[in-house]
Amino acid sequence: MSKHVITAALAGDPNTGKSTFFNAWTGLRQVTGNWPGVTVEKHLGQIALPNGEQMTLVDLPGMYSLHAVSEDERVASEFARSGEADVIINIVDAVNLERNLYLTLALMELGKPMVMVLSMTDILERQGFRVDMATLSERLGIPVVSANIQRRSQRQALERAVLEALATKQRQARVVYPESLNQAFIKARREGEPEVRAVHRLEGIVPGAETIIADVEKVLGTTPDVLIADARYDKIAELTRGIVKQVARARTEIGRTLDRFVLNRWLGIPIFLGVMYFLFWFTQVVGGCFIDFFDVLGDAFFVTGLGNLLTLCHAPDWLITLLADGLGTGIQTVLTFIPPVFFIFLGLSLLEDSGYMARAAYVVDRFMRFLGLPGSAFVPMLVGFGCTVPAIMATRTLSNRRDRLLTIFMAPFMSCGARLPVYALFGAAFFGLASGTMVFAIYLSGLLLAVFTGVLLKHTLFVGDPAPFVMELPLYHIPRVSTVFKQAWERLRHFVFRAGKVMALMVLLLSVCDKITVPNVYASKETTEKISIVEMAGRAMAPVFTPMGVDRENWQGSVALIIGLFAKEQVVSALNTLYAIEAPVEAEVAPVEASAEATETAVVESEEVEAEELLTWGSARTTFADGIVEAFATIPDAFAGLLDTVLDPLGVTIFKSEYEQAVGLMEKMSAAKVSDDCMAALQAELETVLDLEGLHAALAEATVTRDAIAQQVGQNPVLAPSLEAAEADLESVVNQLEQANALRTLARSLMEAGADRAAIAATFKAQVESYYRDTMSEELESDASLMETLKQKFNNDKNRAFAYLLFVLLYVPCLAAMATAVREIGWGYSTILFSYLTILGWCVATLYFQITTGHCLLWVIVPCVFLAAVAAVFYALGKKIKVKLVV
Amino acid sequence: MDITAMKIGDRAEITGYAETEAGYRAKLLALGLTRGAMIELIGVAPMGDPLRLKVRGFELSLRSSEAKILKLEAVTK
Repeated sequence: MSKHVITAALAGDPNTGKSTFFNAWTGLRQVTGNWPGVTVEKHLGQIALPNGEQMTLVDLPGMYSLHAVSEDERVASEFARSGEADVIINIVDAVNLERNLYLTLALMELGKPMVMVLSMTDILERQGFRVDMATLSERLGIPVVSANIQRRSQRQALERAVLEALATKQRQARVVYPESLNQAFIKARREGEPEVRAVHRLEGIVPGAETIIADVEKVLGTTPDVLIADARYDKIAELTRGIVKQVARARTEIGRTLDRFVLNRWLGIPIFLGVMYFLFWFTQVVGGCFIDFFDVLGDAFFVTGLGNLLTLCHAPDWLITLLADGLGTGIQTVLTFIPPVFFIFLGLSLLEDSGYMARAAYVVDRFMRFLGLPGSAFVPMLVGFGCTVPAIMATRTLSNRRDRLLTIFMAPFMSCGARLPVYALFGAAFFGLASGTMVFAIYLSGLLLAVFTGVLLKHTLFVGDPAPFVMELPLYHIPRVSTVFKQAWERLRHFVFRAGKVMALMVLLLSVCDKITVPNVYASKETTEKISIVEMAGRAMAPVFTPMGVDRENWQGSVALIIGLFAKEQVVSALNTLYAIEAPVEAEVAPVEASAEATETAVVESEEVEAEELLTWGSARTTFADGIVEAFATIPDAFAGLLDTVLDPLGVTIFKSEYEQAVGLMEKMSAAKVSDDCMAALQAELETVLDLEGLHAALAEATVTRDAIAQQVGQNPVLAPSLEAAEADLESVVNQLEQANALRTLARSLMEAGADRAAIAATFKAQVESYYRDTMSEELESDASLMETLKQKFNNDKNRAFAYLLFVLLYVPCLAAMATAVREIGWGYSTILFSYLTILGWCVATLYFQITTGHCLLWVIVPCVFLAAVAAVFYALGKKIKVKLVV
Repeated sequence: MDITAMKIGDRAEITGYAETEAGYRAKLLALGLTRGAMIELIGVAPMGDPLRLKVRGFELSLRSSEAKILKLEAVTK
């Protein structure tokens, strides 16, 4: 027979150390979930009481009273009032005893057994005071114990107090309400209800007494909730008289001194920006050091590893595609988001627990109000510049549902790090030295459109004022490592198992579509060439993108956008592959077409033979082991570059710094009066900038690799393609080195040259640009020929390129962000969000292109009509859902 | 008078509430901003708003436009 399980509710004000206490009491026996229907986290803990009974402890979100304003307060209040709990454990902050007792009195009216747990007594003692717990317990009529339960005896005292509360009939303190309210109480009470319902009705916690409230206000000149609160605070004054005793002289508070700087009119914002910068760097860069680890590890286990295993077990091809390429890639994608999500939560928990978060909200509240958001929405926005996934997760710190939705709608506009490689590629191809300005313009467009969206939504979809700002500035607190880690871990787990599921499924679907091939209807009839469903969809959608400057001949541009759904940086590799496939076809129009088919079959056969030859249990094991070794090797590699990132966490400078440095040095050198010493120094500096040393090292490495492979090819002809690749690598390094040397010689020639210095400098400028374009293309893992094709495909038109980038910035976020949004705000709002982003992206890109280059009036009008239609739809929807948002 | 008339360092007693949304009032009441309670303006955020108040021994931050609903009486030092 199963024993009866006792349910206990843990209730208390915010900032009372509730989670620390909950963790200390329940330890590892916890489950985390969501409260039904809302995104508020629910924590349950199991406790074995001394008499052998089991107790489930429900950790309620913090609340100041039973009158809920935000979503989490409503959850807490409803649970407390529902009577589901057999006993209420009320945690009370000893430093703010008076204020905390307000909730205590309200909870007492519910008529449940109660136990009070007093926290922060150590802080109070540091201030020189002590609470007389025995007298307090006597006056309240409930047991009062300390929240400090590190020792076994303290813990047992708490658990005995709970049993005692359950076993005895408590004579709890009662608030005496003014007689003037008696009539109203009688009127507000319904038959068969506990008395307390009438109080809640007059307080406005439960509806149904609006006319009575109005009557009271007419007669007594004030609403009943004010009178009820007055009576409770009068009771509190009575209860606490002489309870807090001064036991020592107060020490000066460090917190107050700290606040003098942190909240200072002039220093407040710089300090805030500094802290935010650190948070960003911590999440993006320190957290980012582990991304490759999870990526490579995920591949070793779930994609390559699983694929090899299935092949060796002679599983059918479709199963391998589904499991390894589909599900495996899905899991791998989820894994790569573990570091940023964990680190953002670690950072947030740290800021929340220390007490800084409330102060940050105070400092920037005025600024954020431009967007119709509270100050605390700043953090998710900032994190959005790194990655939209943790940004969406970070909105969990916002308690108001409307604010959360609005923030999630605006977060994708903060251009995330994954979009940067796309800008970099186009920047290198089209904008040269102006790349930096172009990228800045993109980021700025994102910000401006975020403001536009904020204003639009404020007046349409999410009508109403932002939640009023009532922020307690809690005392500073040294965060407890265990609490902070635990909280971050819980939230991470939540992310992996909820958002992760959707994410893995979405990636699975897209991956499978990417692998399944269908006959290419776009190619000439004779070929049996096959293309993937994704490519097919991309080509089918190409006409949609024509108005924004992606011509039909440039269908690769539209396919890349669809592949970019995996992650936006994949637009680069997609363009790379697609343009590369096309190039040779164009070049070899002459050969007989029939032979193409023959070659293809031959290639397919040889591949099959290769696969069978190569893959044995032994080689699969080696691949797997190599994968794991490689995964671990990524961490020290990533950390090695960590320091460089302090000043450039986004990595924006890959565009310009060296290039500009080189040109700057050259200009200095070409100036008329430069002494020989100075010239030599500049020369040396230029050589460092050109990184000749690095190039020599790269040359040596490439040579070694090539020779090593060349030796093996003799025994194993299958390796021939790798040899080709290695030789191409070597060649490109040699090329770069030659270019760098040419630049150096050019600079040297300045020493002897007299009058034509300016001419030499100009030549240098032109050469250095192409040199850095090559280096950059190296970093972007694409070659110069891609850039040429890219230029050609976009008609060598900067405006076309910029319009395309605007679309990349705006259109639906990657699958990972989509899945996270779906988990956090549901399919309904997510669908609205994704459609809005895509339509807005299309409209903005089209408008930009048509105004600058296209000059087609129709395509200026259409986006405007679309935008107006969106606004109208939002307005209509807003009216419909208004009720739901107002809690 | 209302909160916008207070200067940093000023103290005032709460005498009542002007008409407002019930949720906001309930929150302030729960935090101890009841009639007769003392508030002290101890600071202003860098951009001039919100305000930082001391009430019943703890610090609270409110926007001046919203906290205007508090009816106050100045306390002379």
